[in-house]
Amino acid sequence: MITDTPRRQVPHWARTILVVVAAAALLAPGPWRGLENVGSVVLAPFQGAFSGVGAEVGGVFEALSKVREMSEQNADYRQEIARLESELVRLRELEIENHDLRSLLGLKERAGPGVLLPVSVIARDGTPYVEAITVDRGDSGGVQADNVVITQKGLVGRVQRVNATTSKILLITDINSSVAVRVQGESRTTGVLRGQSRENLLVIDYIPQGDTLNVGDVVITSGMGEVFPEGLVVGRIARVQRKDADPFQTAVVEPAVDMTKLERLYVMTDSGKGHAPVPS
Amino acid sequence: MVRVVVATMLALVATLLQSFFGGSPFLGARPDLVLLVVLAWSVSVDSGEAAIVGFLGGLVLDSVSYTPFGLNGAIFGLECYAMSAAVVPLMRGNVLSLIGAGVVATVLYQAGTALALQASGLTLPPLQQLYGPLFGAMLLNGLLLPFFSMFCRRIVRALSGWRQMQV
Repeated sequence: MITDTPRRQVPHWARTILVVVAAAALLAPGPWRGLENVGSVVLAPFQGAFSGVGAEVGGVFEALSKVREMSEQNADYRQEIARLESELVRLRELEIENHDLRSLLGLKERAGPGVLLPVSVIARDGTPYVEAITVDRGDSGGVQADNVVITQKGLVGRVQRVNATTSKILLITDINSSVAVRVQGESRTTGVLRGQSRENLLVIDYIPQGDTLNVGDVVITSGMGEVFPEGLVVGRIARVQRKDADPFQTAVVEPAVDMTKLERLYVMTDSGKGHAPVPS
Repeated sequence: MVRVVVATMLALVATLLQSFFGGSPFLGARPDLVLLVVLAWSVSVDSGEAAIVGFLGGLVLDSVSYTPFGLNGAIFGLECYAMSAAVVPLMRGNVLSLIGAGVVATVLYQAGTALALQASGLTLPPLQQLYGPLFGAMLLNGLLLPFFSMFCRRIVRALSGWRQMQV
């Protein structure tokens, strides 16, 4: 037979005194604080260790939760970058067009009033004998034979044939092309500029030896003959060929417009004819 | 009739391609695509149809070219007729003779164009400027004609309902 030894309980009054003493020890300064220090000294390393581990674990979970957020942010940034890049390309094109149109406006003011018809090159003559292009405007678009064709950089050529919807333009670099020009230099020399076909160079022959020509001088149309209006930029003098024994010298001119990269062209209607043009 | 229409469409495509085909790095020359198409077509058809195809192809090229209208039509028509009537029977499928025919046709075409332009009052560039592009065009046309012939022969046979017999 097993009997349990009855447990002796702390009397009620002892419990009350113990609580009062514990509260007094907690609130009153003095030696009781030493017990608190002992506890903190003993427990501090463990607290530090657990705190460190807990921080690391918490950091890992936090990083994992941020990965997804960063991935979504990354995708948004990439989309924004792509959008900005396409916008940048568009703005650059607009900047170039703006610059071209400003140059064209200045050219139009110098060339005088008249209608400028924008045209595009649709074909280039395939034979090596002729420097000619075909553009996408013809008689129905207001183009007429002998109209002058320019870009914002300078003179391109002259309309030779006009169909209903297309026109054929003879470039100034063709050997059959001739333009009355003036050199914007000291001598203000005038002459006739001829094309040299595929070498993309122009030549002014029969310039008197006494006229001073400098490399880099701008060559413009003189307006003589009323074929090309005065003041259109043709090119710059690339070199001067002279011989002491010859009475004349020759100027080789580099055209202002690269004939191999024709983009925006404009046909000058009512050009060089002297009568009142229709404003655009 | 259908074959003539198809051949003319091919010449039209070749004209468009030729308009934007810049000078190749090979001596600054580029192949005469329309000439190649009409010559290649004439290898597989009779002389009458070859002459018509050459003429129509030349007219298509004249519409975008600076040469007098009808010049290319006349030259191509004559060359295609000669190709079909005289050259093809002699070739007997020889690739080298086909290449030679392409070279000769190019020389005749370029010479005819130059003479016609001079006769119309245009001044031609100096010969030293023309040697490179002309020589390059001769070689390119000669080398490409066999390939164009193979391509056109397949189209002609397809339009003719030709079927290869399998034993």
